[in-house]
Amino acid sequence: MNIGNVTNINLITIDLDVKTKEDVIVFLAELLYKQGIVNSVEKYVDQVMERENHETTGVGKGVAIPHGKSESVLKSSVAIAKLKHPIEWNSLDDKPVDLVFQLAIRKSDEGDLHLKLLSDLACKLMDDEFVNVLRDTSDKQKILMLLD
Amino acid sequence: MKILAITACATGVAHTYMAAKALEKAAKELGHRIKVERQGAFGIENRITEKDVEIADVVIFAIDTKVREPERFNGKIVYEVGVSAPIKDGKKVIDDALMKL
Repeated sequence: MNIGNVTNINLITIDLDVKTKEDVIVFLAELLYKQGIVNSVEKYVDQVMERENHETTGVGKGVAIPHGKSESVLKSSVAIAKLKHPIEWNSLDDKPVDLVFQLAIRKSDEGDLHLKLLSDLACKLMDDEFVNVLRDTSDKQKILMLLD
Repeated sequence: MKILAITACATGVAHTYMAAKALEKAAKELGHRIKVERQGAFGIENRITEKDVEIADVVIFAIDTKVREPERFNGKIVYEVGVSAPIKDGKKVIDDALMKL
């Protein structure tokens, strides 16, 4: 898997200190905007929140995978945040979240390689050991390597 | 037991695949055979065939969007749950599905 196709070191944040999941989503949306991944923070965040309200993306074990498919997404990508303090995410296992993988999905990307990389990543997140190793590292470069 | 499942979620990138993986893992742990068709952003993957349907004991739909080509399962016992249910507890979904038999 060549994770470099869907993320980079500037899309990873460690020790993010915020209070709510909306804060996380907006922060990561702004990161994606700065990197030229989305061209409208507002439109993209709207899609992410719509998905979030439809069904929680807190999949358990402290992990959340918010995602938004939008015309404002220019390149399917993922932004990653390790939170300083776990926050409430209405998770499937009722536990708070401290690891967030926010996906930005380009609307016209159906069947694209980038989407495949993102869904491969989502699958990897079902593996407890993988998640624990990610959780234990605070080095952005290392995180990138682990995802590859 | 022979179990068939379809996972499908609206965006089709994350939950679809995570639910599929969760079901495969749970079935393995419970000692059942399972085939999970993913209906995601890439269309239909790991397609369930007529033969699969013929020999299956039960079908699980873990979905929050419409199933594509549902007529394949006419006449079979179908247990439907939200696409997040297997991610939360795959074994429970399978156990509950088998209770329908």
